[in-house]
Amino acid sequence: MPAEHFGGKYSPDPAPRQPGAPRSNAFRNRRAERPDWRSTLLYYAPLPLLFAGWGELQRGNATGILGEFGALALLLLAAWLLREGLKAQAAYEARKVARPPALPRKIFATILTGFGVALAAWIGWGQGVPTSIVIGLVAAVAHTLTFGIDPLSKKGLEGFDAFEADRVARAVELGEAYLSQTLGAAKRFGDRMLEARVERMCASAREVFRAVEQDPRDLTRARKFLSVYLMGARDATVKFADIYGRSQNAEARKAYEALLDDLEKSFDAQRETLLLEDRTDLDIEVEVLRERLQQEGVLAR
Amino acid sequence: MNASALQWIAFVVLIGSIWAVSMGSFGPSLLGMN
Repeated sequence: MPAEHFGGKYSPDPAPRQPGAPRSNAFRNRRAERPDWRSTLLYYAPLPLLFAGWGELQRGNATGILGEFGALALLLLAAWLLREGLKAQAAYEARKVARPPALPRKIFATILTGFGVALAAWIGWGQGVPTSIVIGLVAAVAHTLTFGIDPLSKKGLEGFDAFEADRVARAVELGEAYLSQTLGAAKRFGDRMLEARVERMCASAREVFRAVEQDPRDLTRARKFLSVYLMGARDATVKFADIYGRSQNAEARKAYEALLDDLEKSFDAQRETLLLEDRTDLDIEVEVLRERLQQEGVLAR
Repeated sequence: MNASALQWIAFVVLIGSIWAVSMGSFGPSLLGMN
């Protein structure tokens, strides 16, 4: 006996699916956000400096105020940079093709930590300059050993020239930015079901990214997809979020759902086509989708 | 010694040094000695 699908009014995705129709898994190509508790602890460790600085403030000791609040600021900035660096590294590791982060945040965090600790030891704690420098160096080395440094080299695409690799990485970065803006707008719907649909559409789009990353020669063909359609999807979503948030308009919702359907289908088809290297099909598909977006008034004619 | 043990020791040293200089600044200021 085949398994029966149960669902109710509040179940996500009540729409029956075509049997056998493949669907992108919404959790593929998404990384788990797991903040490192060790980096969180770095925010709390220098907090005594706040009270120390407060004490100096009451005594009116200008050097003490500058030194202690300055050290606190340096250490907090370092903790924040480290957190951002860890995030950037996770994104780098999740992708097959990636450029190193533009700013080596973890390395800056290490340097700031060293300076912050040395400053606090010198002015706050009243140690001599050589001792303070040694303590700062120890902290900086320990920071590097604990958290490592940023990824500094390009990854993937051995055998493809650097220019090509760069173009792919940049195109995928742009696509990811559109997706995160789309998902951000979808959060304003206040409708979990529609939001799940948008997430699924984005999952389909990410499958195309991975296909392009696997073979950068596809970029020429996927370029339209990566720029025009993802931008169209974002604009449509933002527009719909505004309308739906104001009026809960059922008509607009229906139109938007149909558009999502079209987009998702076309992304899946796009990936298939990229894998099959059938250019004609893809161009027709792209034309159909362009017309569809024009009808919705998303794209300029 | 494996890499993760080294990492943990380094982490303890890092937190310890930040905490030590912070408390070192806080202590004297609390007692009004600085």
